[in-house]
Amino acid sequence: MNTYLYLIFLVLIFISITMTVISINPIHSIMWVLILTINIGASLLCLNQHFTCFILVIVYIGAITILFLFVIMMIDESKIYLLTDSKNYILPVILIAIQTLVILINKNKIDFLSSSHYDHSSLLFDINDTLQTLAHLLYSDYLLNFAIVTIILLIGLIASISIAMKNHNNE
Amino acid sequence: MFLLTCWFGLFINQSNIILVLIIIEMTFLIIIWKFIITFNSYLISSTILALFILSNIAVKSAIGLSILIKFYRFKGSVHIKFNSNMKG
Repeated sequence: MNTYLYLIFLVLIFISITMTVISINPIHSIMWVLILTINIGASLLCLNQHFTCFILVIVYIGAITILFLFVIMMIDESKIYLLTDSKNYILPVILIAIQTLVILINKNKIDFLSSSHYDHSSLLFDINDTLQTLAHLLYSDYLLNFAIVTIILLIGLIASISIAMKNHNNE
Repeated sequence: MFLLTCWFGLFINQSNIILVLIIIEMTFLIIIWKFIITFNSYLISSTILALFILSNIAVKSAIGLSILIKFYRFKGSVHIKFNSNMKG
């Protein structure tokens, strides 16, 4: 059952990628990124990756997509639209059909959820156990990486503020 | 196949810079997803590395969007066709 759900989500992920690439209006393309994120989270839930699924959905939908929407609202609406108005629907249909065929042909490779050599019980962690292990590892083994990531976030904050700030001396 | 579609989108896109940034974001999301799927049996390590990649993506998108705002103030539009001053 999980395997068929996973296949359905793979096809949905490819459809949303193609529509993001094809769509001309950036707001539509951000909406397709949102649908893509939800599908990726659902496909990670099929693999029992609960923590990563919810982190991805929260960060992408709550932070990055909203950031793009703010920037699109700041820029003038009439200057966003494309000059060419011809929309080609043949190319995405062909791409989606090819990808669906590839997924259906490689179904045995994807079918690792029900394969016998895969230890299914090792995936079924308790969620509290996973979180405790994560927190312990972040503060013990990966402490240096964690500190570097915090410094990178601080530098990004300062850099984005100082770039976007208006320079009054030149005006 | 998934990544090829994203890069194909970078080349056929000729309208504006926001779409380029969105496609790059989507590419990184798919990279994280393939990474987690590939190392699915190492649950803790893949989660920690996904967290690190995710924080770098957040910083990158913030700096890219602030550069985009500066570019919009400087040029007055975000089209690629008209703003061909970056050819060097």
